[in-house]
Amino acid sequence: MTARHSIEAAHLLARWREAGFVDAEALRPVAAAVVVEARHYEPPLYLKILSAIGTFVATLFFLAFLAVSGLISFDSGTGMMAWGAIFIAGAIALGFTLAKSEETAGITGDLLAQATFAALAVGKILFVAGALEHFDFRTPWVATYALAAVTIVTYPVTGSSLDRLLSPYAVACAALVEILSRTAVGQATDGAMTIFFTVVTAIAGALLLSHRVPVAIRPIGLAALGAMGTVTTIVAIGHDGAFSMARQVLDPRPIEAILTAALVGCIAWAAGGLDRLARPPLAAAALGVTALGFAGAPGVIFALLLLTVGHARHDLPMRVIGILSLPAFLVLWYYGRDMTFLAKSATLIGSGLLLLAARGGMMIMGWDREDEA
Amino acid sequence: MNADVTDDGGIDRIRVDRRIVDRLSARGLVSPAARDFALDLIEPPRRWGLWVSRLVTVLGMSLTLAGIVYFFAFNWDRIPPLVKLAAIALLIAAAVAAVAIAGFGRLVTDAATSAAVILVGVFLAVFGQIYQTGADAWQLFVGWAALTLAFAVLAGSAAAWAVWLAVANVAILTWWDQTHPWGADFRAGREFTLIAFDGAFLVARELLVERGFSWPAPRWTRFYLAVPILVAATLTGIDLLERWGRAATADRVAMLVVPTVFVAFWYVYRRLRPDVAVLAATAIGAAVLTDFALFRLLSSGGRSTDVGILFIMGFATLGIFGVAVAWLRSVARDTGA
Repeated sequence: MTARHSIEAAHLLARWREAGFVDAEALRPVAAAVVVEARHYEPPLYLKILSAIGTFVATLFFLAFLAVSGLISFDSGTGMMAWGAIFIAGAIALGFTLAKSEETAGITGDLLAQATFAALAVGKILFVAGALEHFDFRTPWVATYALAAVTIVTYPVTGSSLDRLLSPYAVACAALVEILSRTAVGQATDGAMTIFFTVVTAIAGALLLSHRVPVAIRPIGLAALGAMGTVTTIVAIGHDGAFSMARQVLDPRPIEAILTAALVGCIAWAAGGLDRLARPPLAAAALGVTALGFAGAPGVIFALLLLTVGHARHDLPMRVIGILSLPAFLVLWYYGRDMTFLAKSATLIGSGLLLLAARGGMMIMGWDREDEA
Repeated sequence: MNADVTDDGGIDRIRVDRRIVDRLSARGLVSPAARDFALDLIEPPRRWGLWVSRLVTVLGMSLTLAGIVYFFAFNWDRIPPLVKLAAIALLIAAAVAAVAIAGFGRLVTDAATSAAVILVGVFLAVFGQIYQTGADAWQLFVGWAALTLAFAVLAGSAAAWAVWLAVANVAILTWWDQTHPWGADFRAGREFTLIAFDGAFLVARELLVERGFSWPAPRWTRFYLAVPILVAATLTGIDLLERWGRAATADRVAMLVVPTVFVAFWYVYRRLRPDVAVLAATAIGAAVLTDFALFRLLSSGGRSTDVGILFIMGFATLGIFGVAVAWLRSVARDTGA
């Protein structure tokens, strides 16, 4: 069996009642809400991946058809924007039909959902390409504005969580390209990067760490987390890599400081509040993270951030991404530092031994045997 | 529990997962504390102390080992040959000693055994470099796999087996690449060997789990073996379709092997051991093959691609993947995944 972690609803309600989380009066509305929520089936990740591959291939075929057939002139920006708007409107209409009709469950519903997603993708690509053509692709921020416009229009009406994740992420990436490689902010690249990173970190924190946030807007938080990862990767690659995009040496320290503060904040959040940082194990963890911040390892801090949030939220995909990104960022760190090879290996061995010593300290203090932090 | 509530809307038949708990919390129907309480019931407790200690152990060992490797890489030319080999042999001995002291079935044992398997390969590579043995790459990988097979068997560790299987797969690939002439038979033969080799281990994994062995039981071990088989079958299928009409001997075998692999995966992981994740990987491979086959059919084997074909293919792709999604969704519902 491959059952997702779950328990019987009646058992959960009984346990909540016993533990005093739900009183007799509130039991009925909570039970009714469970029944309603159980009707909404959230597809697992592998279904989204399968759907995304199908949509990607179909979108390529449709775009190739439009290009070869000559139905749309790719020389006319206005025309492409108009066609893009038509496709988006069609996708929205299809989405509404899908959401309202009970008869579109099952295979018909899946086919319509695929068609909606593909129409949305074709429409967005045409609209953004048209905007770049119409306003001249050299004009700063055109791609960002166009992507933001289509995202704002479609986000409330599209039912696809994948589209809700990818569209805001595309907006963030477009803004990042403007800041880094198109010098849309002039010489203030460092400051703009810091502001950008602060904003995406704040969005990710606000939308992913609070249980009160409606599920519909959480993909924006994941997109912000993705943007954090993109910036972190750029910083971790160092001077020889993506920093050449900006044609100037960027200062990674503000990004590293924000990441360090974010990880310390996440540890406090997972523990139940900032005041908990005074407890010895958590104070040691915060000190260790701060030391890592000074070591200039933003990628490692970001991977630990993913692991911590993923572990706290019982979020398996986030934990898997965290585990996979940890060795990747370690390799990037090795290649990105302006140090001699000898200094690099000494730093690696030193930090490794420090961690193993910390492990020994945890064992002596008995912190590795506790059930809950 | 109030009988009226449990009778309401068939709640007895509903299973609550993390998504539903999150939705109730987001709507303010239950408190954050109630949400955490429910998540601890749904999934194992978080046990932060244990989790952090494991993370620190793995990270500390990885950093230290990486630092040692980089140190040797930096000073390579200045280190005498005997010291190079002795240092690696010492590391292997240290890994074996760690297993002997810690005992089997622990995280540190898995890490030490995996490190030992990797270090044997490093030893062979260094030996070959110092003494210029003239051995081909495939011989290095075959020797590596042969020498470390005992490690993997004795350790009974999924992590060590994963490393060993990766080495063995590279040995197969390099053996085909360096000892066989390029051609249709080469491509199909290489993929068939991988399918047979990984398939045998997948069958062994399922039999061991059935007989109560716990170390190969984690689900990732099944996925780790299944994905290379499906990738090999899909690539063989695409290659076959690409050269349709110019069939070599291997292609005739491929016509049997590729569908057999997909049908076997469907039967085993739908009927015998339901696993939606493996079925999803199977569905992706099957959908890609079907889509490509249709495109080749419509475009007369790739000789003509007109506007109409592109238009039809757009909808056909939506249909093929839509059907696959619908089927997987129904399987997921049936199995409660």
